[in-house]
Amino acid sequence: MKRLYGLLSAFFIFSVQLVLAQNIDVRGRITDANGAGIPDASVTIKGTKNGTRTSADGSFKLTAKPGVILVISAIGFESREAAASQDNINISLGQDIRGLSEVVVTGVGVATSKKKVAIDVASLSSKDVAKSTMGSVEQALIGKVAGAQVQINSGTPGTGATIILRGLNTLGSSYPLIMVDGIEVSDLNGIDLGNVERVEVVKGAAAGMLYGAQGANGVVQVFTKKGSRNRKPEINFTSQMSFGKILTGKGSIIAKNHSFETDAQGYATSNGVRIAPDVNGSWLTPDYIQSTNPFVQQNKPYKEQTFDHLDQAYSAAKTFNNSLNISGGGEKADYSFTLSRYDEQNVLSNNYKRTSLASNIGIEPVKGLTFRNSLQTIFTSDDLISGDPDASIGGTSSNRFGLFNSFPFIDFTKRDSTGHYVVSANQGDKTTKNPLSEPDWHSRNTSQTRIVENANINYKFPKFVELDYKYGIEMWSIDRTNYYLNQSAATQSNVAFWGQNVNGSIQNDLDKFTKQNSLATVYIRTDFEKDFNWKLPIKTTTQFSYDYRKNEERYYFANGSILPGFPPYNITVAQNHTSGDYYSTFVTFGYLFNQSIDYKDLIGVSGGFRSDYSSAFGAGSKPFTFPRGTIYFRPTELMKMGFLTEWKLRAAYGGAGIQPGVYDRQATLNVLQLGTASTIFNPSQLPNSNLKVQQSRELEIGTDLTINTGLEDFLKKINISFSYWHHKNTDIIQPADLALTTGASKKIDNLTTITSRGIDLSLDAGVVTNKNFDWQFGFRLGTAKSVATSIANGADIVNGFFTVRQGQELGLFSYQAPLSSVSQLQQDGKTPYIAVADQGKYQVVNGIVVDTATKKAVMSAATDQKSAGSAYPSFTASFINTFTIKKNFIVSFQLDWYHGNKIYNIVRQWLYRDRLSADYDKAVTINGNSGAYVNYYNSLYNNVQPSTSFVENGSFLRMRDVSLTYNLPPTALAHWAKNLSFTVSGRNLFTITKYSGLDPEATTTADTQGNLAGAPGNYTGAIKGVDYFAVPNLRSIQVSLRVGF
Amino acid sequence: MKKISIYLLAIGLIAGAGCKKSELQQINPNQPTPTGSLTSEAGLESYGAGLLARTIFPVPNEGNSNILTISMIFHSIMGDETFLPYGNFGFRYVNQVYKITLPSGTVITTPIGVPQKSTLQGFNSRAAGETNAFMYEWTINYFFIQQCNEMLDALKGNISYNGDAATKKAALQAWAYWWKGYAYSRLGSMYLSGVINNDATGGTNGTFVDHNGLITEANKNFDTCSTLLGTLPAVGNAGYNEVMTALVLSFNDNAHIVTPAMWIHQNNSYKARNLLVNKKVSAMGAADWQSIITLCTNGLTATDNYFKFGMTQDGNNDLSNSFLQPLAMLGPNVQWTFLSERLVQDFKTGDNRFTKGVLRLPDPPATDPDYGLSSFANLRSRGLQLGTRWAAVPIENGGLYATGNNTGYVPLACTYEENALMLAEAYINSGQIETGLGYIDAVRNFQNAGLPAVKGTGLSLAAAKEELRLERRIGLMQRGVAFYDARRWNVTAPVASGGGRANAIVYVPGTVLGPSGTPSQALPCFMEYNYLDYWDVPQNELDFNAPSSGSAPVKN
Repeated sequence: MKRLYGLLSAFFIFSVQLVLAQNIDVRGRITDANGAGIPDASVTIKGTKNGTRTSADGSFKLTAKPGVILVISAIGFESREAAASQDNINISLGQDIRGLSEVVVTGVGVATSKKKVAIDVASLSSKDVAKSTMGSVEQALIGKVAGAQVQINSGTPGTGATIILRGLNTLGSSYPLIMVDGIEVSDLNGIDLGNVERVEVVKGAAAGMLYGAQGANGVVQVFTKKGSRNRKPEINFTSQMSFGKILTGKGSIIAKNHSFETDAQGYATSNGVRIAPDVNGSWLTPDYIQSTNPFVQQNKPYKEQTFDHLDQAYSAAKTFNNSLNISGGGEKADYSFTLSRYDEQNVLSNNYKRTSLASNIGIEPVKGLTFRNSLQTIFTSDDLISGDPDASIGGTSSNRFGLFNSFPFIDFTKRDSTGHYVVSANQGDKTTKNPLSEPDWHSRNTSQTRIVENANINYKFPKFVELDYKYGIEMWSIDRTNYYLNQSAATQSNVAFWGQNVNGSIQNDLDKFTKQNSLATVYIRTDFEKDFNWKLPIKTTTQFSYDYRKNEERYYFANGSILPGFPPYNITVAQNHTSGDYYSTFVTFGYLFNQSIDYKDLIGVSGGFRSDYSSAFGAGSKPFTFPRGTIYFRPTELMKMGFLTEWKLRAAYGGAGIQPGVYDRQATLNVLQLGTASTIFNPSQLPNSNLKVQQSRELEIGTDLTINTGLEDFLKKINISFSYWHHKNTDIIQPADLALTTGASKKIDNLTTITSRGIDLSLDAGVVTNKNFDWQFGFRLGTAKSVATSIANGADIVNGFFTVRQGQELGLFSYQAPLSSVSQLQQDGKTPYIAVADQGKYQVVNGIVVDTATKKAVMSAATDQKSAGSAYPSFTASFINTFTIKKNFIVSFQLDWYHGNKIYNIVRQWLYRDRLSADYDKAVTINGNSGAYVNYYNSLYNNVQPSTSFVENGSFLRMRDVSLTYNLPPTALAHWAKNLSFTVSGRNLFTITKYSGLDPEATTTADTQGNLAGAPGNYTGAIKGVDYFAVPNLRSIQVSLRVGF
Repeated sequence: MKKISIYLLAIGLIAGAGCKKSELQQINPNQPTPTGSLTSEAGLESYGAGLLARTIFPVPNEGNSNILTISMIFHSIMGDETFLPYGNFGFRYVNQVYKITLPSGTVITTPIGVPQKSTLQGFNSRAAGETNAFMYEWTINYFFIQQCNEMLDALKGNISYNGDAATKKAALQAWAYWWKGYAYSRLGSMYLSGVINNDATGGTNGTFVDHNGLITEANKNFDTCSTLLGTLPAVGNAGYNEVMTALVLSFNDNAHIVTPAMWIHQNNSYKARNLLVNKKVSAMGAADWQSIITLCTNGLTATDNYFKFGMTQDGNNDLSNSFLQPLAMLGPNVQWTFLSERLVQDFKTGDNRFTKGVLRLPDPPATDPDYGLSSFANLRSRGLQLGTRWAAVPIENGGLYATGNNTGYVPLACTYEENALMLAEAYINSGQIETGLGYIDAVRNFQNAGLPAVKGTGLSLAAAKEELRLERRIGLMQRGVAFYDARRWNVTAPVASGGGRANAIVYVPGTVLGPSGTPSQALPCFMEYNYLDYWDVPQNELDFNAPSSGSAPVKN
């Protein structure tokens, strides 16, 4: 260590000497083409690390020797150089619409200029974020990155996003590896956008190899806000308010007419008597006109008063997001503090709240040595009780079923004599409850604390060597309580109640989770010209890292059932008590070696490998090694190519993995408390002691180019980035079905191979650029197709609505289908479904073969399944336009487009059961007679399920964001503020789609009963393509104010 | 460069510190391992008790569900004690009566249009998920068999017993053999064929033997069980009682211990059942009846305890999830199964069990206060058999067949009443009608039916058989034999094979009978059930275990 101190002090003296030379104060302002100040631009003295950053209005001040060259750069702008002088330096930077000036880190190991990156790294800075985004990183990413499918599947607060980067690589979760400032964290959900400076996304194994056995789904890295050296404190405050209502699709999904028996006045009857609600508001089921009569039509308007149940249940919801950031820095330190508060109302009248506190402090006590510490503390609480079927976000599957599947004459707001909402409003269907009544009897609260701590020590030797050590720890503590009141005295307690038993129950859970990541890296850099005086313009970087990760979880639950009929409601007062616990530890570590060599800026190659050990690998815990190689070539360095001012060709190949489940390699017996005994028994899904990591190999070939048209105002510059990618995923873990006589139904094994390919295309253009009007256009396109090229035994994997079939696309919907021609043959290819002699008795109606006598559709045999497409879109695209008018008015909008994805509309299928679907109102023509025949529709529900009849085109084009921002001109601002802007925006204002449900984005992996894929023994599906009563996303209006001091 | 190597070394050391390979050997701390638990008495008792935990199975589209209950319900609804109109677990396709002929002569065919066989075979694929009815009884019984095989294998090892080792070992072994006997009995009485699997390592074989072969295997296991029990004192001892209290789950009544003698009676009764229910009654010969008399004479007595299936009161920590238990499913909170008109018509006038156990649902718009339900017909237009005027009085209100608060038990296997009625049937068919009728009276008295004795009333053979039929319907309600009886009495056979039931009461919707406003009516109809006798092997098995050559047929 003595040697190090010597070295450090030598440098310290050297730098002091520099400062002692004759210096001047240099002042200036950096602006964009429109003259608006660019905040946070970097101004450095060329050849040194000395410099400063501009303040919010673009001004800067630094001390330098006269005549030294200043390098001015800012994210999103092209860099420029200028000589230091005592005069005010006013410099305007040109827009860098493809961000080639940017430096990226993710997937390249070492900070590299985008110009020289051989892989496709997408980045998003705060200026790119759609203005209607409220506090969520996941929301901010939607539509912004070509090839990144980011979808929020529910309007329930706190719902995380589904993220699929470049197709599916596994039958498990598609969720990418999430990093914050170089350290792995568990997820993006809850990370405060107010504290985010930039996000980088790499989409496959070629870049993910750096992250080894966890990188195959790609990586999303968040960089938190940092302060700047030599800058006075700056205060920025953002306040947003949003007001939203659920999307309800094109029209009511509920039929206007009915086909019940009615009395002479047209009122529905049961056994000849007009139906009426009982004292509690519960209705008899009217008699359906029997479908033994094929001429029954759904053509009677309700004489009873009807209610829109969605309207009764869902209220408008407000969201508030306030964020305060203070940042600045001295000579040797910088700091940034962010405090945010987010309050979201649920459309079902509950609340989700989040308070985030973040700090980021960097210190450079001696030159070359920096310490940086970033800490985010996130407190979340919610009392969501009903919403999505997904238990992980507090929903139960039954509660929203009734919202849809209830007769329109039922009034959910009816209260019984005790003042409670009616629980069972339909006497013929006790299990379908009034969702409005749940809050009367069921309460739920979650509070969680999440701490993301990240410490970094970095020492750069004057030459060659940089040492970097990062340690991150993420800690979660989640405390939940969930109770059902004792309902034994409730008016309908004998037939319907909420919870597991009428006497009430309470469950408390405490989950503590820590994730540690320790990452030590040595970089060795050489510059042959400078370091060795060789006349070779070669630079090399060698990276060697050691990466250690450990996750630990402790979980406890306690359950009390049979509660007294009076408060307090806790476990102690319950009659019966049960408790349990769960612990898990997961350890993985690995070595990374990566070598890159650049020849000028012309060509560069890199190669390396990463080797990982994991506690989840079976058979002796041998390491798995992933290779990587990349190359880029920039012809524009060699020759002038006219309007093609920048052209790069690139290719990359790499492997990465996905870890098996924590204890999936260990043979254990299951444990279940039964009565007073703790029993043990064989699991029905067997583990596998030889489990291997799932592997993904990616080949990516691409090009980045800039076209300078030479035109003045119109289409001056166009940037295009294009990548073709191919993934081969092997050893994919599959819960393979077994013969049941073995005593088990499944065994986990590495059996499946999935190949995916697609392209990513980004196009950015300055369509119009002049002083008074500026139009920037962006287009993002990602295509992907993932095929299961081999699965065990070639036997289909069936899970809920999804089938994985060898040779077919993932996300496949494959079921029995209505016949499409009267002469259609059975699977044997010979026998017609309908005997030739009988074919005259059938007809094709709306593409479906119908028996003209019974008016019923004819279905294919159970063994004769037809593919109805895949839940995965053939492409996703977005169009982003930003117009700047007279510098201060900014109008922008973003359209998102999903194409080719199918949705299983289980809501519509359930509505077919009770003749409630709006489809029943539509007349069909059978045998020359037109009518809304009940048998026609009912037969599509009744005889088989699932059926292709309920698979719909899920393509949509959605106006994701439209916003109008007014920046107050600096002249209008008094001295009290540096900048002030005011925005009005709208989110999800319209959707163009053929989909008949409420919201084509509000989909899940649930099956007919609302069980989510991902339960033990299922593949998690990754693809959310089932419309199972999810809360639709909201159509909302935002107002926001941003002010900087 | 020297410096560099020093720093590299330093980094390497930091790295090495976290890199203990031993840290990779993370052992699952949540669950026991077979080697750690199946070597002790306590572990084997937990494992034996855990057999029933295997009834909880992640059913596709339904999640964790009790598949033993599902198969028990299949028997009840095909036996037309109850009916179930919903599609979950394939239920409604299982009780899909093919044709119902009204007194007017109008024939109403099932809305699906085809007999049960076509529908069920159509669903016999993994893709059909929960709707494949064939998979439930198959799955649970092979799960039982496999865990019993492993338990018997573990019992061969060196186990430390606390106290009377020989007794405890014998009791544990008897338990495993009994469950194997039970499982093979259920398989052999339901499926065309199956495999005999004695592999304790999780393997299987492709040799499918026919259902008679499975019954032979079942009886063999019962015999082994009886032999083991024969080595113990007839009333058991402290060690035996300790083991049995641990093996039988508390909510299945472990207070009334099945002693070795009672258990041997159970085995004899079950062997008699295996013989009786697997032959059409018309094919039973004198020797068969004599075998039944022999077995049942040593079968269950009125004071014997038997194995039961119940619930915990709060629905926690039991096998039902407050729902999947036969009594609960018929009860007011669940209302999945409903009391069949065809069962209710089989109560004799004056039967206390009717007064206690059955309530008349009021006609709409009035509703029963317990059930919140009116009489209904042709529920959801899914078939005329799916309607009733009756419901079961909850046990907690003094009823017999249903519960709304998790009270009561159904037997898992044979009972005294079943044994007595087998004797009755055997004697009646062996020319000793009066002896037989005496057993019917005994059962009625045992169940406090309050009916006058039929013995000594000089009933003809046909009338005696009808008494027997009625008593098996009512006395053995929810005892797991209704479908077996309907099959052997040829009720479920196609009309072309002489099947069907005449004068079967159907609650016919008024809208089928006349113009709007016509009330529903209970009418004697002819019902052609047209059900499969023995079920196909589920495709879930055949996809991964193709029958080897010489195997018995696996499909109808």
